[in-house]
Amino acid sequence: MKVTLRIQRYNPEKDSEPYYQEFSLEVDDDKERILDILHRVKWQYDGTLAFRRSCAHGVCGSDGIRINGRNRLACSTLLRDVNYRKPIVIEPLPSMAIIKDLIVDMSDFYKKYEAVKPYLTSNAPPPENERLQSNEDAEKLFESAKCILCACCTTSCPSTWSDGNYIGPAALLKAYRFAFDTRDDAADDRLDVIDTPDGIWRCHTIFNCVEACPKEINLTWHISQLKKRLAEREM
Amino acid sequence: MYKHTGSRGSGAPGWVLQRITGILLVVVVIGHYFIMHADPASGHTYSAVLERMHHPFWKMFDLTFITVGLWHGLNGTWGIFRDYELKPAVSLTIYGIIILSGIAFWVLGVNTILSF
Amino acid sequence: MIKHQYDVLIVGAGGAGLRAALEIPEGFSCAVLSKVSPTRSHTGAAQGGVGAALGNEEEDSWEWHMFDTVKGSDYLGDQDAIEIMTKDAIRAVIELEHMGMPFSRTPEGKIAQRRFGGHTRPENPNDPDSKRVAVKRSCYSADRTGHVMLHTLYENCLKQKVQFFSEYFVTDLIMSAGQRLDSSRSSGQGNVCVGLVALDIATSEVHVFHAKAVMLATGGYGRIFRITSNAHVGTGDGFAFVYNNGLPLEDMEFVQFHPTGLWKLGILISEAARGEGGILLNNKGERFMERYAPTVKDLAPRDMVSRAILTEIREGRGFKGSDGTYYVQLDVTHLPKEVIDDKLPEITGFARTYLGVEPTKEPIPVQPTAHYAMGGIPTTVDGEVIKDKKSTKVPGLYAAGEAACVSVHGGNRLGTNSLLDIIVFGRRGGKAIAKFIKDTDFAPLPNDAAERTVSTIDRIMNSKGKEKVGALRMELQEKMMEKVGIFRNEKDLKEMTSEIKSLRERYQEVSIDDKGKVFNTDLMEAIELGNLIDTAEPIIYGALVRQESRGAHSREDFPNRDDKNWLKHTLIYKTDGAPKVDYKPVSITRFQPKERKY
Repeated sequence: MKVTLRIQRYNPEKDSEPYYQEFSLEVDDDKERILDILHRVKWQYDGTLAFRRSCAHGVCGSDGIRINGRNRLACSTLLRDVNYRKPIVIEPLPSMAIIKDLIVDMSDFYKKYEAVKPYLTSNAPPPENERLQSNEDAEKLFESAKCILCACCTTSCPSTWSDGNYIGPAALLKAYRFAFDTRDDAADDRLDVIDTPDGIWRCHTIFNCVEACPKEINLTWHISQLKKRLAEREM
Repeated sequence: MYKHTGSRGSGAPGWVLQRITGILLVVVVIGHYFIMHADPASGHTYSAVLERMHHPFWKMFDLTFITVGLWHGLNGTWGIFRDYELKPAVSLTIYGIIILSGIAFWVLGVNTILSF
Repeated sequence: MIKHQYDVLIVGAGGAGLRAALEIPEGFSCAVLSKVSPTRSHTGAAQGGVGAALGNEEEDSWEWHMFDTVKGSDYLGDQDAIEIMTKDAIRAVIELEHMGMPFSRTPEGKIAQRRFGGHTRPENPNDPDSKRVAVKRSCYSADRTGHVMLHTLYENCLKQKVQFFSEYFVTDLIMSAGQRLDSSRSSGQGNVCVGLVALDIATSEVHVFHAKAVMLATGGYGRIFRITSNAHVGTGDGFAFVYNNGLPLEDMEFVQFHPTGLWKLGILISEAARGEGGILLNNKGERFMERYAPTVKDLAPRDMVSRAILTEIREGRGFKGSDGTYYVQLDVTHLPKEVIDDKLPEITGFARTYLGVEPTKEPIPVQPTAHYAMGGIPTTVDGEVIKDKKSTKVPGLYAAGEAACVSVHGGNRLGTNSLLDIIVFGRRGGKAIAKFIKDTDFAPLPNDAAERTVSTIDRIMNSKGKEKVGALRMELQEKMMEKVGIFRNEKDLKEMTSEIKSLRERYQEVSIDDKGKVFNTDLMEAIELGNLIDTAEPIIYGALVRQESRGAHSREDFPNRDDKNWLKHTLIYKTDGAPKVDYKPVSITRFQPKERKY
């Protein structure tokens, strides 16, 4: 069977603006991954096509792209997950500067991630053995710790589109990961960072992030926990 | 790294108040609908309105309505503007208009209610 | 060309590299270079856990852990190194907890542990020779242990303000004759490492980094094989740098194939699936493991199951896939739905997401997948790279993690020991570097430092040759899978020695489509292909010279282990002709070699 990819292309050395290019190729069945098809385009038709990828099974977060208008991982999306009877539209993640083809500039995303001080800060010197933590308390962190920093959520958020300074769901999720860790003593610092006009209050519970997350993390729930925590702190 | 126009301190009270006023508005708006629109006799005849407005409960009811409604609506409007990256001057102007119009409408409304 | 100077350079931002970076004291400059953003490193793919005899769930001791590791290595692991690793494991895991790693917990709030293949304790703790039973030794965080470990280490690097050069692709080491304090060790050409050459992927600019010490933490080479669980970036870069600079690689013939990779994709289906009662079936619907391992059946060790699967396929009892490769079936359909959903969510999720197979209703197609490099860059227990059988050190050059061969894994690695390896030896390497840079000056940088890189790039960019990267790489991967895979024999390996020569010649004719400078991934893949070919050579030669079957190395023409002649490490050196082979003794301290059976 034949499928067509309609890929957004942009080479800063040649093009003044992005354009679309179509590639049609034979595939075995509808269980092929979009990443494998992109690789075949690159390896057999056009070596100039540029995209990031590494682990190819959804744990490294390199290949977040936009497929038929939805932010997804190329490696975790099969043909049968999309409408392949029409050309499949492949674009870079929205609202980020494009470096080349499907590769976007992630530096702003990482800067926001770093802004929430994403590391455990403990005032007490560590005990000889491990710090004790109940399994319930540990499991409260697991969903947020699943995040692979692929940026699918942040770039799907309308608040991010309108306000580039908005810290975004991924960084807020990271703030949750540490602010709700019973071993952490720096929750206030993190809450100060997100309690700003471009911080958590720009989240209007639109749920696009939840829909986009390839790891099925309920970001909005985690953000709501932070909002409640802030409200408790202030009132 | 974040813009600060119109921000003083935490955003949490604003967020909480928006929700509390939201809940109050659900109650007040439904009440308003029943007395003003469901039965034209009670809403649209001068005597009925006059009689009701002499009652302190209804004065409080309408004072709550105008205060809560204005705050909720204008805070929401400001929230929409804050979702965009605006130049500080533009941002300040909009903020000023919202505050001034809020005060003006509130004074007008309160005056009207209390004149009964 | 842009020049930089740092006291320490670390290549690779996986667990080993990040752990090492945390040891560099304030006042010294340190940079970590990685061809992908740090959290994309392949450490993140590890699921099961990290092994340490914490004894949180049941009685355990580092000596039992050591014994299991030695036995698992088929007695090829160096016992002095294994002792260090298993002893230090306890401190290392607790340290991760202190760094903030989220672990699953026991009811008392301690780090939770679970059983894992090959990890045992004596049934009677007072009698070390009593029957061994499985022990809970794997410290875990749900089924994402590697992911949270990688993130925790990266977070701590951010806290310590470690400098990163993300998406910088290192292409070569800079070796020099060098004048050092310990000049006795640096006689002759190219004996001291003084830096490295890297390509800024975003701009294609060549950067020369001058340093006192360089650590290679570049991970594995799984992408040499057609079917692998490794990331696309696992192209053996570090092995190639070392090999091309005249230094040896150790025990490269030992490649771990995991028996159950998802067909066509190689994604790992952990042995937990069989642990819960899943069985392997051939195209006749037979539970074939009953024939190969009548007692343990489907739960036999990894190398044994991999060999059984391949035997079934070779004898015509495999299923032919649409891609021309063969597979067998992993059947969990008879298991209760709760077991599949609660205990195997990730695994069954992979089958659903990637193959569109519903594991509760139909069997999962699986085939052995290249998983881990036991061999690598020979190092001391402090990560110092050594260059001969007398363990002569190469000043300024360090290695850790999968790229290094200490050797703690010998002929076969136990599950959970890879995450342990990176945190123990990453740290020890970092500490050794911290000591080294304090009393060492920068050795002069040769003028032609970047010459080899620049000429390679020029050749590839200007080539009008007919060879294409994708096609040539596929050929290498298919041949390696077929001839240097699970079963090996002299005929195939000899054929491969000439194949690899011809592949290398054809590689000189590789041309690419992308002639631009911005994010030229076409160029990068071409350079990586060169590294793959260079790394394949010592694997082939190591497999050819080792005339025995030990651990993951299985020779059809020499089916038995031969301790009399082969209880030794191989060292392979690149020469202009056939590689030079040398041998290094195995350190045996506590446990004398015995037959390895489970």
